[in-house]
Amino acid sequence: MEITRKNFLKLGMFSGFGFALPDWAAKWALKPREDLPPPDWEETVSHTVCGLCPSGCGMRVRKVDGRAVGVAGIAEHPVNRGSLCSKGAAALQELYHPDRVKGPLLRDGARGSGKWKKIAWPEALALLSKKLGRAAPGGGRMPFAALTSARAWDIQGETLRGLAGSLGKDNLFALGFPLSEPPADAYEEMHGLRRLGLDLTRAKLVVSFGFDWLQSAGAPVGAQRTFARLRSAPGRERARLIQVEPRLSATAGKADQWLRVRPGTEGLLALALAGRLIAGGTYDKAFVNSRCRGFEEFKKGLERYSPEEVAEATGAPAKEILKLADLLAAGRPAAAITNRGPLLTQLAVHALNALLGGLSEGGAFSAIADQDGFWAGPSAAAALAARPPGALLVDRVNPLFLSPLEWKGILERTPFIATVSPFLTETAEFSDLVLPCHTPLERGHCSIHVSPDGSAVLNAAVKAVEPFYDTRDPAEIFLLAAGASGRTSVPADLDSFFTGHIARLQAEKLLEEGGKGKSWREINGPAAAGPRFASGSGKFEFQALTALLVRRDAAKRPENGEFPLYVHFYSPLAFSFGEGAHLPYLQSVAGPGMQDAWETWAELHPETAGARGIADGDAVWIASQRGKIKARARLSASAMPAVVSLPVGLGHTAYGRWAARAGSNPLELGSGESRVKIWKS
Amino acid sequence: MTPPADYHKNDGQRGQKSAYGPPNGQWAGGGGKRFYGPVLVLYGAAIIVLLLGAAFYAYSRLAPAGSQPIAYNHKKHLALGLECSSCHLGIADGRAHARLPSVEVCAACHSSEDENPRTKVIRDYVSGNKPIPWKKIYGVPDHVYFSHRRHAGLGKLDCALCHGDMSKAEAPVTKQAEKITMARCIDCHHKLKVTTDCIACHR
Amino acid sequence: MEKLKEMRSSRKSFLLAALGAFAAVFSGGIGRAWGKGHGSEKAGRHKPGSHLWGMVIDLDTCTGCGACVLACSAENNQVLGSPAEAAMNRVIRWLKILPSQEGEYPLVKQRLLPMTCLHCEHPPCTKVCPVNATYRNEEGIVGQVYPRCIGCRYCLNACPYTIKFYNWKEPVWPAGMEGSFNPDVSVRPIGVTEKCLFCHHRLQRAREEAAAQGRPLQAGDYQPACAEVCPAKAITFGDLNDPDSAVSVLARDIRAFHLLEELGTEPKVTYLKERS
Repeated sequence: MEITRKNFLKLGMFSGFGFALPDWAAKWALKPREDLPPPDWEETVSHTVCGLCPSGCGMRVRKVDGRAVGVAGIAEHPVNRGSLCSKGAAALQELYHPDRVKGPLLRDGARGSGKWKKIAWPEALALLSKKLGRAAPGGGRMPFAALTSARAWDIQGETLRGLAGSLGKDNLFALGFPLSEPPADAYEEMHGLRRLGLDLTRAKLVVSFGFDWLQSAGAPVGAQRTFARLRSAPGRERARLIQVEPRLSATAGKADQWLRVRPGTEGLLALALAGRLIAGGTYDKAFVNSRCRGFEEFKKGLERYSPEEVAEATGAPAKEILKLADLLAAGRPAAAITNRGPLLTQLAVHALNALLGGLSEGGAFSAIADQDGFWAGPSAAAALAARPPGALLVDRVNPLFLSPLEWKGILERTPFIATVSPFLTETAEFSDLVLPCHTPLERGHCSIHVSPDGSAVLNAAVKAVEPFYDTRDPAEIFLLAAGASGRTSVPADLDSFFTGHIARLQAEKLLEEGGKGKSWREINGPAAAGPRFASGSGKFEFQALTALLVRRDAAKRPENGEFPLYVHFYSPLAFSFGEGAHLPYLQSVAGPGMQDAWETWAELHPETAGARGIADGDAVWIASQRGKIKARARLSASAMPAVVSLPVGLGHTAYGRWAARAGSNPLELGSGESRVKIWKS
Repeated sequence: MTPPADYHKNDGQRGQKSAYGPPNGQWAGGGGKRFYGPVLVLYGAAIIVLLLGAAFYAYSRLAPAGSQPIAYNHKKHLALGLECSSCHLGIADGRAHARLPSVEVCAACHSSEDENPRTKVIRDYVSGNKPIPWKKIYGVPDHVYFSHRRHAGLGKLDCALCHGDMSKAEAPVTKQAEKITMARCIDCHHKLKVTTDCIACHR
Repeated sequence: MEKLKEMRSSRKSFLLAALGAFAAVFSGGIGRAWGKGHGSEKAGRHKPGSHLWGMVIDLDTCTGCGACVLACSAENNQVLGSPAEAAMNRVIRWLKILPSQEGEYPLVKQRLLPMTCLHCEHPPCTKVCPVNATYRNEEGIVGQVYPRCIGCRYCLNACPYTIKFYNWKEPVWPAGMEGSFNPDVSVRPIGVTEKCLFCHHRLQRAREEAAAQGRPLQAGDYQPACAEVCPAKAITFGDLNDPDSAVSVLARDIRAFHLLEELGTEPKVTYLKERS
């Protein structure tokens, strides 16, 4: 032992007490403690499914004496081939998070006041069943609504669907994350389907409109793997990547060409490109002539979108637009991608795919095997705002964070809200009843995962570790609630439901072999090229887009004196789906160029900042018509002048110690807002 | 070589608070400052108090004699033909960590039919299926990686090399027969011409 | 008075430590470790110096997604980080993504470079260590022996890549979270310098496993956490002594370059520049 002041005093004290103690006390104090037996160091491995996003990566959990001490990808698993994304690699931080909800909580004070009463499970479940069962129709209300996340064909999702089905019809809503979703609204208008398979690796040229797909894609591991294959898979030509985006994102930085446009004008650029392709006759004529409807009208509608006018609106030089059109014409098969942004952008970008051969044989798009439900609906918020539910059950989504402006009102008008979550999210904090569930490592899995390319995998696994706290499997909560309603034939206990589900999917063997052999089965590979058309005409419809072009002069730039700047929201991989800020390690990869985040950065061009007296690192206020937030200015020479770029994911007011009070939530500006002003705080 | 000013502040806590287990001479780092002349009386008193304190500390930390929960007799068991690895699992099945016998291991022989009054203690553990709170006598600090598998399993070293000849030991183990020190490790590694790379053991 | 004692005692412990270090080096306890290999080739024992571990990072396929940073942090029990530490740039991450931007729009180039200890063949950091706590081992890994380190931070200053880290604070984890620690890796206390060791503990395990199966160590047995986790498979790790190993082949690629090559440190982490 070192001789320091501290130790010196400590030892002096010890010896002093030692001498001063009476006999009985000395005996008590000096009795060796009954220690627990030394650890066994029994090392085991479990196979499970990564639960941090719906991609379904196979995960190996390394355990010592039953305690999870490491995670890695399963080398042979078709979804991730031994890899994980940054979120998956942080999985243990979620399991061991100190701020997990440790037992059911009942609101004990005003909503959102943070005052809770701890209650026991029987009481909590009885209350839930009572509230759900009593919810009666009438008064313009939906008696009951359940809210869950998109793309979730797992036990949790199936049982919730069962519960919702036992309580009524059309009451299950899947909430998406538009920054990460495919342009489903365009698919619906043009194909009559909300989903298409997209296998980017079939394209020789990928042009992305405002979609930072390397960081924001719904399947992060899939996106990185796709990129690697596009760039350097043996025996294939290196694909070209073009990024049309306001900001030098990770994808823009990796692309062969980055075209800087104003936020929200990506669609206009797509229209200019379409016009150019049509004028030059360098489009997929065979497809357009045989499989499209309304092409002539569309062609006519495009007249207003000349490269010069679009250059004016987007801020991209006309010369660059022409160059890009030539590249597209030469680089077939090409794929034009975007996320679920403004409808015009979605439609215009997908129209490009029709022109570029992406929808023909050999193209990147395909029909996808149909799965019921759980795709993000057009708008859960709109449906529930029109008919607020009498009772709302929230499962694994956090609407109050994802679109606070829309959901605040809906939740306020909902008399009873129950949230199932391992953490006190913003929505949970605003609930009446919080039902803490196991984290994914603590529960059994049997789930189908559909990749963007249409391939589907069945994963099955028993729980990797014993639950830490007094939590329940979410499926068990839903089964018990459904059982209490008395209107279901599904067994109310989880074990028999799980066994039945496994048997239905013929996954018994996967469970047996889990940890040693395969815990998954490929249901089908990537879908073959050539999508279906379920539209009335059985053809690709240009009509919706043409209508938008004709109805208003979309190319015109609305001037707004009060809010002179454009705002661009992006989603770093670490916080995709608005989740992840609760895991401290993820702050270190909050986005390339961000380094350790812990606060929200507003990326600005030095000129834009300079004109407002803002220097790098200054605290600034950013306001839109609907809200305002605080951020830290970060000047970047590559930023577009008059644009403010904001990362989504930070700015929680709840969600555990690391997320709460770190940064601010740009979605409070309103996710549809495009204009802001900024000033130094 | 003057260390930076704030350096000393760190010193005192290092051996104590770290997760590295028992304080260890190697951790004594530090820098010198000017010597201001002796204050002998105080220094002497300090040393006495310190020694007493250290004795108490050692006493409370280390397992005192006779503190094993069971008066286990190695000699008797080995004479019955048992091997070290029969009870200390983990050596034979290729694990980095050898283990102290769990109650299941004892239960294999000490069944309830056994009437011997001297083995009642173990039968109580077995019948109650209670874990036996063995005191761990041998161990390395947290910053050392030691693998039984590598030494006793793959290297086929005799257990007695580090743990002494247990075939003569009648009393339960309450202190290390051979003191486990780094010097001892290094000495053996030299003799056997195996790695002396620091990070082969230090982690 | 107490201050005096503290000074005196720290002087004492310093002298003890210095003496210890001196004795250790000159008695040959540690010193010989740097000598040429002296192992036998019995089954299960590796021949020192027979491997030279190296890594190649292909910047063409690397997307800067940060999975490697996370895998490294979790594998090696790294600190959690906090806003205060981040503001001082003191969050310890053995592997981090270094961003850089060159040029102006439209000719702007962004590079995201995963940066770890480069395990130089001629490491500048080891030469300045007064207690031999950091050294190049027989297989090319630049080791850092935490219990030996006195925290003088000379090596931090000597490292031209600034990729060694000092524990300015006692690392803290909320109660219960230490359950997630990787038991193969220690937790470094305050006052100690730490760095990437190419997940050396994984080599130990791989070697034991190979010996148990009675075979020599094979390519792929030993992968650091970052190489294992990479979704784009941009990180290749292996034996540079084997001219046919994937890592050797890639290290000879026409795109290969090293960071600050002109310093002559000969890093064993090779980067492949982006194709254009």
